Amino acid sequence: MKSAVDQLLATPKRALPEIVFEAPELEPSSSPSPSVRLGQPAPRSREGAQPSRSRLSELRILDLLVPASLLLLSFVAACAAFPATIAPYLPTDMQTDSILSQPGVGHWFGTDQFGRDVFSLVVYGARQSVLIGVFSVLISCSIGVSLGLTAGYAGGWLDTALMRFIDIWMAIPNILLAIALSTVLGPSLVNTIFAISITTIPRYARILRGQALSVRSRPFIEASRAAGASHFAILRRHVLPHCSAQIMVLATLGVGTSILIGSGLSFLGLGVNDERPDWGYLLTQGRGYLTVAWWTVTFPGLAITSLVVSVNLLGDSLRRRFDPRNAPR
Amino acid sequence: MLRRIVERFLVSLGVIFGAVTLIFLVLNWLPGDAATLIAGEDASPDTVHHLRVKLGTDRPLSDQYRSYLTGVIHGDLGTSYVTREPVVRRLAAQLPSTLMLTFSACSVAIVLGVLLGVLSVLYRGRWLDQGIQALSLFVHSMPSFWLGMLMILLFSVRLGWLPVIGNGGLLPLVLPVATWGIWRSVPLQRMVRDGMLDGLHEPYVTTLRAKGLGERRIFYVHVLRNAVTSTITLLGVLVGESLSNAVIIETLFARQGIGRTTVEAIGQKDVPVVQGAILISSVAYVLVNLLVDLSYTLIDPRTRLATSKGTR
Repeated sequence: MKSAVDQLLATPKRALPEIVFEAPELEPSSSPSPSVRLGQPAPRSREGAQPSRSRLSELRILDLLVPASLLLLSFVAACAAFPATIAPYLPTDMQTDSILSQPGVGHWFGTDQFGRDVFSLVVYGARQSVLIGVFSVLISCSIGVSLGLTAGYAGGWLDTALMRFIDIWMAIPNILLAIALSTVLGPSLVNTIFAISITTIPRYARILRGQALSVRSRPFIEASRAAGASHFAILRRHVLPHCSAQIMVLATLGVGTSILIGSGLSFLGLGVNDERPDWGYLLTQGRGYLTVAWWTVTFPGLAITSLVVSVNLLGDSLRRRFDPRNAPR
Repeated sequence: MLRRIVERFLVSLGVIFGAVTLIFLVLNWLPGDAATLIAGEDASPDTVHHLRVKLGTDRPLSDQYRSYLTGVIHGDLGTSYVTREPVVRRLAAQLPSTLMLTFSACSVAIVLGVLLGVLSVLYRGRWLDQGIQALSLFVHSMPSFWLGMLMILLFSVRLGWLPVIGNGGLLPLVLPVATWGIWRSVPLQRMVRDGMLDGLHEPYVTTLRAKGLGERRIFYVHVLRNAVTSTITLLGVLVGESLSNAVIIETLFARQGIGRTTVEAIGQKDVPVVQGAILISSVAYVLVNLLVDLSYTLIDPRTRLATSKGTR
């Protein structure tokens, strides 16, 4: 590759019209390693023509869903904040005359085995999922990012030690670590959030370490070091902002993961089961009535899935926006 | 080459040792006392103390750790608090069922993932690709147990084709395997798809074209092979999370297995059993990752050159 660059610089310009014409079109943004780009095949007429454009167009259906997911997210947020104004019934309201009734006009999502309105239960259950998603990501992302950036930027023995620790951490299956933690700590929302945060830290640390590693050797780091900036200041003012796009994407996708782990925990009976059961626990309860009342599991599950789909769609669209391969031409 | 293998093996041993220690600390050091939990809240301090002596949790933590570690090295994972049965025997009895489930599910996931990945590259940008993308996003965002419940609703309740629960024979295995396999095929599908799309623009493809090889052969033999090889990395992840998935799937379908045993042990505050199950799964994860790492050096000559730089 090195020789290709040398050759390019050495040869008179007319000798390589193709590369000179094609390269800027392929990679309009400033590419970090021009030699790699030059190594790519020139666009051909048949297959593989305009690779970046085909990548852009391929997710058009999903792109259309982004506004819908924003709408859904705001609705879930509203449910989490003001469940009483949205839900037609209280989650404790057991109507003994309409036990396990089908979804209909009175009860949009039907009723469960206690005669509770499933729609109201779903609305009241939103708060827990939202809290788990947001707070566990805030905790795990900030810890994971600090660990990863420190390891990648520092390098040497600190990097090795931190990464070995992360390896050990990852060797313990995540749901089981969360289960073990919440068993030991006892069921409460705070403990659940803590358990989920602990199990999801390594992912952030791993990825951010890679980022810091690639930023570390860039000239502007060296320059600020020469200007007398401390390591901490460089990490905070230069390395962290450089990774912010990646962090945002990771955190958004992480919200979905955390919500899924949280629902799994309460499916196993480790969540908080007071009079406001969360979505995972609703599924556990509905499971016993699967054969007679499909609505008791379908709607809470749909709630989890649509919330996580929305979050993931948002994360994906952020990723594509920040991906240099998809830079607007 | 041999030096690298030995080196990696030692590091893996270290990771296993670390995992054992971490599990031990999490389960024993954090607030919460097994004896109190087992005895219940109304138990008198005397009963709790008696129980503590019986379980051996009254000793200093360093003592407990030392004897636990000695036990682990000798293949003894302790005795269940509840059934007073050796943990090893209890888990070994459940292992075949879980292994069967895990192995079948991972096979389904790999076959389905590669198939869907290739299809979505072949029909890139068209409706089939978009459909696969949308579906995989949806499945990726589902809790696996909800996917399982939907499958039960469709195939057992509506159509009546398959039994919901059960342990013997192959028929009850279908739904759990399908649920797990479909759910985990998503990351594989994405990886194969991305890998092939990237691979199509690699220099070696140009070389192959220049050599006069047909597009079909380039696509199915060379690009596909590279994309599939790269998914070997995911194998480690699939195995590492298999106990997590087994916990959920076995609970949902009421199957016997290590996952279900672990959940029961958690309900009974049976720390040694939980500890043992997590330990087995971590060892499997570390070993599979070691094998993946080593197989990479065999498959991909470039990684052999990179050893001196310490890259993975």
